Amino acid sequence: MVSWRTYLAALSLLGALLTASHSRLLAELLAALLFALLTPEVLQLAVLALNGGWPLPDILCLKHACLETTGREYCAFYGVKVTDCRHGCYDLSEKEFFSLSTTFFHVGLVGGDAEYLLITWNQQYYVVIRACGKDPYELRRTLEKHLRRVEEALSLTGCSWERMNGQNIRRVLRPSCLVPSGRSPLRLAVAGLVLLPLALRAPFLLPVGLAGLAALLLSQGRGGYTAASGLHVYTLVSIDSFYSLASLSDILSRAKIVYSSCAKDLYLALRVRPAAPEEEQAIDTEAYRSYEVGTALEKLSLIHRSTKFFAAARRRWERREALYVVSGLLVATQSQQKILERIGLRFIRLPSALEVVS
Amino acid sequence: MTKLLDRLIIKKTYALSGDLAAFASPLAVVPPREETSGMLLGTDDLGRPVFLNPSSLPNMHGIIVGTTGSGKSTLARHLILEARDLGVSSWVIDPHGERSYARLYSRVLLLGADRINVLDTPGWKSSEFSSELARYIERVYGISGARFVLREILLKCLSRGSLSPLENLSEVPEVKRIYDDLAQIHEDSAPSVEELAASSICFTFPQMSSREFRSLAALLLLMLLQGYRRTLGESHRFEHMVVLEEAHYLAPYLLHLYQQTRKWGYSVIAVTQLPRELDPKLYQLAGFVVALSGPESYVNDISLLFSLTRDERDHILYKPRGAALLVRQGDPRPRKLFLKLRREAFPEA
Repeated sequence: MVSWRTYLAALSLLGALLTASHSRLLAELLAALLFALLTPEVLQLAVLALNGGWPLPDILCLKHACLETTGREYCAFYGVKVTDCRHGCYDLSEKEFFSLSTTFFHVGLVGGDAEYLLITWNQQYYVVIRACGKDPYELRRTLEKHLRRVEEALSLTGCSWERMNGQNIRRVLRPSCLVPSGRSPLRLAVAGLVLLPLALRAPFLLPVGLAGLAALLLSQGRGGYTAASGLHVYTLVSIDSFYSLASLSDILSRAKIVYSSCAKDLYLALRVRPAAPEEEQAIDTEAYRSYEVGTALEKLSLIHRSTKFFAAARRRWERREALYVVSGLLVATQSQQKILERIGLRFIRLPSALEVVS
Repeated sequence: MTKLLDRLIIKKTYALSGDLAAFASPLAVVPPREETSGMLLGTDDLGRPVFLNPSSLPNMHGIIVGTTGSGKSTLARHLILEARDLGVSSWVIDPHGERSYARLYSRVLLLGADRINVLDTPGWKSSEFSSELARYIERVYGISGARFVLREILLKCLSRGSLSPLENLSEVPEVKRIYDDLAQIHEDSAPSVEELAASSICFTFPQMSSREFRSLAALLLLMLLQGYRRTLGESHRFEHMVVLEEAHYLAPYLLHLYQQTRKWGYSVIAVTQLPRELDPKLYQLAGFVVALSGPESYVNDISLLFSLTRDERDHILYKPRGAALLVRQGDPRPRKLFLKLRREAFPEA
């Protein structure tokens, strides 16, 4: 699915080409807009050119936690490993599975001042909590509070767990399926990118120069990582089932597919944050608005869009499902990615997904 | 700056808890915890090796059920070989006299031709031994009401160290029958249980022996071993294993045995093709149960015992040979097993 940004970039390019012979200023403005719209892609290319892989910050692992320093802030990670669950998708009924699983999310992932990393790797399940702050003691209290809540949720779900030590947290955040990348021969090209607007005296290339500069800043003090041989790095772009009123048996059958075919050998990290009330409200608003506009303009595409959002809204109200904002990293083979795609998880190959575990 | 870059670079999407349940719930990912050492049985449906670990089971008594040709005996032989690697000696009591068992042992006793001393009963008081034996003989031979008379006769035999008191009453047809069978098993100068328990032995029977004779011989062997192991004191180490083929012959005694012999360092693995013939309580007492594949009525019986899911039922109903379910005490989740048995355990090897 092509995003609105890509459409706009294509239009800008077309506009710049058409207006170049008539108005140089307008063409330059449109070109500047084009580059501004493409900044994320240029930035990613520049980062890759600089590091050979995606740069991740070094993490310092202590006895029970890992730390990452970002400017004047600390970001700390605490984690638990789920060792066993009394039941699973292999023996639960549809209702039981749905009820227990949602209990885990509703009780354990309450958010606020922390983010959760739900990591599946080699049929093991980890919950890593990440919180950032300036005061290490306050940070510790926050993480302890959230960890206890996750443990309570696991206990309600019938799962046993063990707290992870620092080394184990590091192993999960920098798994062996990600390997440090070698030095890239294109390093110098990034410096050229930064100087490009000056060298060519072309102000419309300023977004490109800024992207190069951002890439240099982002890569500072970080080592690049790339997927191990035979694997690829994917980023989660959408969860199709979000827009449908999936039945409980559908949810269970998808879980069984994940259990039997996918959970083995793949690395899936989801950064999950409970959505803010206004984000929840936005789902309902989008459903109503697109319906109203769609019916007024007799636009089937908008009415269809409304149906999709209405399904999500109904699930929130009728099934009491909580809304989360999710970003995902998948390190897997192409066939595993295809299976996940069939069950409604859309991924694209994008190395910046590694940011999920930073 | 980092937050700004995060917003620019990281793709975010919405998910409801039901969406996450399908792929990010621990219940959709974490398989039941598995042992990492012990006796290897095969792999589970996720390809993980499955072990029977004597040290993590409350007891090593086991039951192997499956219909004819499903591989019960092959699995039992595999367990014998695995146990041997752990330094565990074994007995096999095999009414069929299969060569495949005998092949694994350097010492084979053909009961009926080879004798043992059944009147040397270490660990038992004579009165206890005769009471127990009389109780089971009454059931095995179907002579109800004879228990107390038999007890007295057997007590005399034990005190004299000879079967002559039985022989003297052999004009009574029931007693003669018991005497004939006992005389085929016992000899005063034959090895005692103490000597037999020190080595691994395959006990077999003549091809056309009666069911009563087989039951009596197996019963005596198990009772003698039970007493002897008691003399060695309590032991939670797994030291000796008995594989009992056609275990349903001894169903009532097995129940008693499984209740009593948990802490004496040995285990009895009952092999049978008829799950219903064994007392349901036996399945509660056994440390592990392996159910091999079989027809629908058989799978229904297993389902009643362990309340299986449809997947688990189908696993032993539709899968070819080598599929089994493993249930271990303390973990009610049956494991769908694909047996990986040693080559030497197969009859054709």
